[in-house]
Amino acid sequence: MHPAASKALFEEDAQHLSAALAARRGWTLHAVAYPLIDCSFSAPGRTTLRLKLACDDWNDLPPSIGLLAADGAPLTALPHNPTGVFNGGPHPLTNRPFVCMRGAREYHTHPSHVVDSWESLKNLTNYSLGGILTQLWHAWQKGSG
Amino acid sequence: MTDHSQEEAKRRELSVEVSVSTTAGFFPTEGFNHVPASQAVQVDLEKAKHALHIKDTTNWIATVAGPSGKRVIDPSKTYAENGLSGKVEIDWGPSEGGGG
Repeated sequence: MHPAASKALFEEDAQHLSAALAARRGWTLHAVAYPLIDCSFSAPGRTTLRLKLACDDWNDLPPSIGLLAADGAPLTALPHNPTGVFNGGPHPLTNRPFVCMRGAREYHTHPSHVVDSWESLKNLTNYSLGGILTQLWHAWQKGSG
Repeated sequence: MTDHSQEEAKRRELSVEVSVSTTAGFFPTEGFNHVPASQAVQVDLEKAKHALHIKDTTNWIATVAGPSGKRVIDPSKTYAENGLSGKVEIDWGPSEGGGG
């Protein structure tokens, strides 16, 4: 996709990732600027999880999602989570823990899931940038630590 | 207390103030809507879906903040049946997809 078209799609999708939404959800939006979304999830009694979504070539490609500690350091181990969405890996391409959920580039490039096409998802509401972030937030909320 | 203020107090007791947040925006855009506590939550979610031009809400869940964290509410039930009163901030969005 042409970078200008990708940027326009990104900005349309990300326009409602607002300070008001972040305040209500316990998110911190460190950056929302093409091609990056840098967002932390926090809640009382929980260790903050920070996610960095690299949205280059959005939405021909799903975002590549980095799992980080609050300070931005890459996570080397994951807190307990029963959903299977956060996978200790290592991912064969990144050699790191990764998001194993439809809508994450690391899922669709994993040898176990390459037949699960992003193409069939990319225009669905649940796989907008906000939809993917919300799914990840709900998954994180089911965990502990 | 006058009849008028008694009526107002009763009206407040029987109504809730509702705001729905999604990644497509807030409904209403600012502030809260006053709705009967006896109304199903789904009514306002449908209004939000229409107003915010949300195409598909399959697998979406509605949550509210409680003393012990977020809890999922049942949109087919009323606000009162969901144990909600006063100012109600509903967060609405897709549940996580399968992983692993």
